[in-house]
Amino acid sequence: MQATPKLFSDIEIGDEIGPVTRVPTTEMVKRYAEAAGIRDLHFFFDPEQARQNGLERPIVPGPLTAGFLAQMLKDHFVGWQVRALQTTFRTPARHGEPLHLWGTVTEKTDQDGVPTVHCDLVAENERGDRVIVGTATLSWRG
Amino acid sequence: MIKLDPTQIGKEIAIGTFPVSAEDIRAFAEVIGDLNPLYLDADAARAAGYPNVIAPPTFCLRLRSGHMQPEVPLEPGLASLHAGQDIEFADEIYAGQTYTVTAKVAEVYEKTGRSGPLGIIVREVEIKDREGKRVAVLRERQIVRSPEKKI
Repeated sequence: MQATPKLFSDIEIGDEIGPVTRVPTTEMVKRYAEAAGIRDLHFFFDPEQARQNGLERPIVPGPLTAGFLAQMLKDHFVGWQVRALQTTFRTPARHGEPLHLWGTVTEKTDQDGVPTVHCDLVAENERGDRVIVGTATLSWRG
Repeated sequence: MIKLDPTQIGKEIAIGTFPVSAEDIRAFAEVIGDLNPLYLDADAARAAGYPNVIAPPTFCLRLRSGHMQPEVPLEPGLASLHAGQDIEFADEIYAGQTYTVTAKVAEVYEKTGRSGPLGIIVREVEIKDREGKRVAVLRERQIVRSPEKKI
């Protein structure tokens, strides 16, 4: 069963979303590459291919980490639809390294009669590097 | 400087037409570890007002087949990396629907970043349902750089 929908009146600017911690393992990266149709991008799992591509080591695909952020949003905003998800991949994430995800509500608006919220999003690694920064817009669908 | 060929800008290509099944969505949701009932259980999705299970937001990246298309020719020895994406959704992606995906190079430009000269390629991918209604638009940024300085 889905959790109880989050009402617009219950959302305040400054509300925190998360935090959530996810650990993208090498196995998860391989399965994601298969599912996302990027299995031929070997630098995601082959150290030599990674070095040839200017990376110190194999990395986690940015869209996989963006997917973790989208999951956090959907779990937090039950009854809402993600209308926009903007993500910038700032630092490559390493296999097996925990990623700490969180967000903040930055704005509440009424767009043509539809309750809408805007959020800032962050995914950070254990060393305090921001792996992803982003924003999201969600609209109420009831 | 890294020189990118601008002649591909604006040329739209067909990526393909893709039927989406509940099994496709379940498989993707399980891989990313997102077991939201809306993605897995048609009854839960209908109870929430949807006609069928819906896909996680980043499922739309699977529909563009993973590849950075259309290709922009790069000089030998350069490396590239996905630098980010902006996705706008007009609707959810549903099981049982068929989606048509097109893509074009929207921009190419050069800049200097912390690691030296960079080339930036921006692609725009449009996803429409079988009725021709726009469901999502992705703008993906690809960075092109020298592989000598490791990140």
